Amino acid sequence: MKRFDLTTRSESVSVALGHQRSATLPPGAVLKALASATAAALLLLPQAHIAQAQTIGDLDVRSRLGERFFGAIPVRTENGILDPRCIRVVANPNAPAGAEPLQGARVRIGSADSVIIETIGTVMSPVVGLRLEVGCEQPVTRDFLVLKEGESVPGVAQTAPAAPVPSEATAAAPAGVEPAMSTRSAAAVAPRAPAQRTTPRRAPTRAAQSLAGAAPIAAPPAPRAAAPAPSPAQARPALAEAAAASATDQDAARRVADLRARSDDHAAAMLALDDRLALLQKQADVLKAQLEQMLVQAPAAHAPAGASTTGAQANAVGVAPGASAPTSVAAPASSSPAAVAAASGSAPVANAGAARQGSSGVLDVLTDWRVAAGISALLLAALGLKLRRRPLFQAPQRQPSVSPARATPWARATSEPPEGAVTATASSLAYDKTQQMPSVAQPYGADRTTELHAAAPIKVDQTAEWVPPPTTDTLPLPEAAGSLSPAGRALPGAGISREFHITQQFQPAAERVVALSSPEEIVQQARTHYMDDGDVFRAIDLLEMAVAARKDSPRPFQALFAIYRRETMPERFQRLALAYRGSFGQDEHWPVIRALGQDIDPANPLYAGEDAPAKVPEDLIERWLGVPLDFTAHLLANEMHDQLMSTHPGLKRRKRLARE
Amino acid sequence: MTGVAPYPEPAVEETSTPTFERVLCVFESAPAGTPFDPAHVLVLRRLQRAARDHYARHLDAMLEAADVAQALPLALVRGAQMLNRRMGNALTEAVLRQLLRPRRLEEQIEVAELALCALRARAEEIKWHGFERTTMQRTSWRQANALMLAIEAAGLERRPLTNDATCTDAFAQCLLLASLNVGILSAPQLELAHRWLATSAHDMRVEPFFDPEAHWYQVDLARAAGPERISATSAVADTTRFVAVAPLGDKLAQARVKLYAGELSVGATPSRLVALHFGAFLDLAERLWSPDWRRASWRAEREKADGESIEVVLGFDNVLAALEAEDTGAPAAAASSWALRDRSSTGLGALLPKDAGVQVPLGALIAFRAAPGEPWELGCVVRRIRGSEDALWMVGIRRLSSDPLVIDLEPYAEGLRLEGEAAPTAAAIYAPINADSGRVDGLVIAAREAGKATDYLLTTANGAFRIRANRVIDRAEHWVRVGFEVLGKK
Repeated sequence: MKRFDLTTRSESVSVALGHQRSATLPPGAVLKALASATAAALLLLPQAHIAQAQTIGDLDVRSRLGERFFGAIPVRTENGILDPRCIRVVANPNAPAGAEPLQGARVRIGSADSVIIETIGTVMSPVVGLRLEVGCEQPVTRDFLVLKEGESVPGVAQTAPAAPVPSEATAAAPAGVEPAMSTRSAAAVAPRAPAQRTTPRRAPTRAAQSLAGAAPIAAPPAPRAAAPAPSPAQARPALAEAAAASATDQDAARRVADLRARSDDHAAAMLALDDRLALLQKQADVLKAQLEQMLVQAPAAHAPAGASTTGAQANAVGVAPGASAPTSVAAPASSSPAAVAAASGSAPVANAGAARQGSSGVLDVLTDWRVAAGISALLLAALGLKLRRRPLFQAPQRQPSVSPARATPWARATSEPPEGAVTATASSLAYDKTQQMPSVAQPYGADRTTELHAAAPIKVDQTAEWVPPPTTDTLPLPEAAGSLSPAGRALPGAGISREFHITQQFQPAAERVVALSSPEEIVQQARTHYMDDGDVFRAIDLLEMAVAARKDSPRPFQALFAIYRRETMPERFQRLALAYRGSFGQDEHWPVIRALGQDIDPANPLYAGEDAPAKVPEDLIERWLGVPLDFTAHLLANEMHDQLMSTHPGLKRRKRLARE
Repeated sequence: MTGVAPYPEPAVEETSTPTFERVLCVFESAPAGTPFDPAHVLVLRRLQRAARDHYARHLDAMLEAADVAQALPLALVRGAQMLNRRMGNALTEAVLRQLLRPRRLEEQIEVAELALCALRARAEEIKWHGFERTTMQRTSWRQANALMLAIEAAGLERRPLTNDATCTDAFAQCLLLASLNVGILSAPQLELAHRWLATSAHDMRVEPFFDPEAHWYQVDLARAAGPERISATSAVADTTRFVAVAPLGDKLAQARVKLYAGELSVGATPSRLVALHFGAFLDLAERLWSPDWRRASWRAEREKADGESIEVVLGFDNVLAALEAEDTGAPAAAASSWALRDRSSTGLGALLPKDAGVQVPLGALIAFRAAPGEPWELGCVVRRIRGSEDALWMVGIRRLSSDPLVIDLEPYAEGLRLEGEAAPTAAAIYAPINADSGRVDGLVIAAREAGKATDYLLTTANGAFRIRANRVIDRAEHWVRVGFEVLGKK
């Protein structure tokens, strides 16, 4: 945890960050930050002439199209110190036509020796080119091209996704050497390919994906391992072609690159299918093993009822005449297949079947119809068992050497079971008979797509009792507030309170009545809240409610405009202006509303127009708020207050205490 | 796990403690370092869904109930806290163990989905703690923060998952819910807040850089703590993330417009009660998150008051008696002592012992003073919250008046009165307070007296003033604070 006193290395260089936070920092901290950064830079100056190897890593963009740009680039220097003043983001000179530079980019040092690039404004261009320069005197640069997913760059051959490579360049290297390029069109854009180090092809960078925002997550998996890496000889001609070839050559190169990319995609899809196949094979093996296990255990489970039946069937159909029934009846105690076979007597068929069972797999056993009949019976029995008792999730034995911290929840779990009839009675522990839930009946994987649907809070259906209230443009009479308590109904202002209004909207009275509170009364109440109580929230709430409920008068609108203007609330002002124009059109008040809006939000096109904004009268806000010119009530209130405070017995005691 | 079928049909049953125990113990007692069986993880997710469905019924009933305490007993609340905590821990552990392994794209998505489930379990945990007016345990925050850090490191935090949900959104919802859980909202209001956030708080921004226009909360992913307001004294580390809540302002305003038009923009059965609860949530959320309100009403700066204490009298009748005793010089009423935490221009923060804090209801009228013999001030309890591991309640007190006076209010009636006929009077408290906009006069009267009349005669030493109560400024269960205008003088 660090504070803004900037005593550590990473803080000492974060001048940009300090500037950015200066609005919330005490002035001393900012000065301190500047001083620390300056000191750090001065310390570095003597070593500046030493050639330092630097590495500029991949650009990791974490913003999306339409958001402010935010990306991180790991930068490594030999001495491990990054000076933000020597890091610049400029336009990518090698970017293809159509790529826009990053406007208003700010650079700061992030964690893990990374350079954070962010912009003040949003990025709307699908293709952005930028160059990162690290170093004051002999900077090392690296060009980046950030693309929206699926975006093509005019004039640039689309190659398969190529990941940026952490490049290493020294200060002694020729100036302008490009360490590497990023994004999918990097190879085609970089003109100085010989300086690059060819790398294995990798998945599309997160830069391209995250800027795309809605990048399809179900895209074929990246051909990380299977895709053949292009050799340097392959990459370099592509660069040269893209830069200097004719249009025909470019088209051909684009087609080749496209085909190559598709080939990679197909390879990746094949890999995914292979993996899926392997998984299915594994599941099949597991099922097979389960089936065999059931075959082994089933005779024992159904010995009393099933053994005689199967034995009799075996005798009747395939057992030799010499086979004796008592032998088969005596057999049920055995549980192994071999024992079953032995119980079948000396019948050659049975012996042969037993021999096959011993040597071959379960599928061979299944071909024997007698075994199949037995399995069917067993399955039916198993189904019956399953209906009686569902399989349990078998917990392992608890380790006795658990830490107290972990043991506590367990102990609490037994003492404080989750509510909702989570009763750990002896009977439930013994039998665990439960009702099968619909969700359980879903096959494996079936819930994967629906589980997160259910994750959102369940929207309760509207009950039959609830009747949507009729829309009304008038506030109803307070007498209609059937749900308010008698005391609450009689409170001052109850007829235009929010509780009353919501009651009317969500629990309407049988009779709809005309408004009691006139627009002027509503404005007066709101003004009282606003000016007498200083309760801005309640005043706005009342007027917003009035504006939502009735559109027959501009007075609540005007009072609301006045408060928004005084409190400088541009977003709400704009929303109200739109609502006003929708209700009253551009009437005689509209020019003044525009002028008020321009005062607090000059850049908003809603208030712009060819004609000059209207002149706002000085007393307009007071008039719209209905400020009274009669101050008698205020004078009387002051007089009453003075009399109470000066003559009240408690006050004398207070004064005495104050003197003491 | 030995002896467990690879894909067992889970015994998820909504009211089965043994089932919960078996499933969760598998995760809690597994040896460290080894990934969990996918089948067990699947069972855990199904268990989470079953628990959610189970509690949804209780929550729906609670929204419609007049008595929340009866619809949501404490045992139920604490059971849900514990269950969600354990499920969140298990899911988090499953994610962290799977993240260590090399993985394909499908596995990445699976891990991200699992992280989403873990974060949703945390949101549930925060909410159920909020029902009890407590905050989530620090260990849970540590796990949630560590999970988010790991998800960020894997680059999965913004990967769109089912229904375009992302881990960043889920984490932001946790943070926002925690920022609402300050001891003000009631259980139904917090439940509606959670539902609204789950459906409306999308494309949230939890970022490592700071923008003062957009970011209002911060959280340090390396610490075992929840979000905190950004202030000039906030500490910042490399693991600090800043939460942008400004985009929610517009959605909140739209929800309010819809509410006043008779439409409820939250998943609940529309009713008067639910609508009122939803309105209360919007009030707090807009004050906290709307850019306009943030500019208009900045929170008063707190000043630490460690080691100090105040003397407190609780309840309307007791307050009235204490003020009268001060006027007459009679022995003071029995008062209790609360430790002071901080103070500001608008109120105080006090600390109460665990048992005593439970007895202090929200909205309770109190008289307080720094020491015996000093004049009483008037206030009311506006928030009460306790850390789930802490032994003290934190109580927020809003100052209603620095100079409260007990007065007699006589309902004003036109016409003649017989000589010697005593006019019915009611004791009230004259409670003026100086605000930025000037002095605000108010009368605090008992709720049982409210509404009997609007015009009163207020007698002073030099005469009497005729006043009319024209608005309700504050209201609680046992008292009402009304504003008035002076109509004339006798």
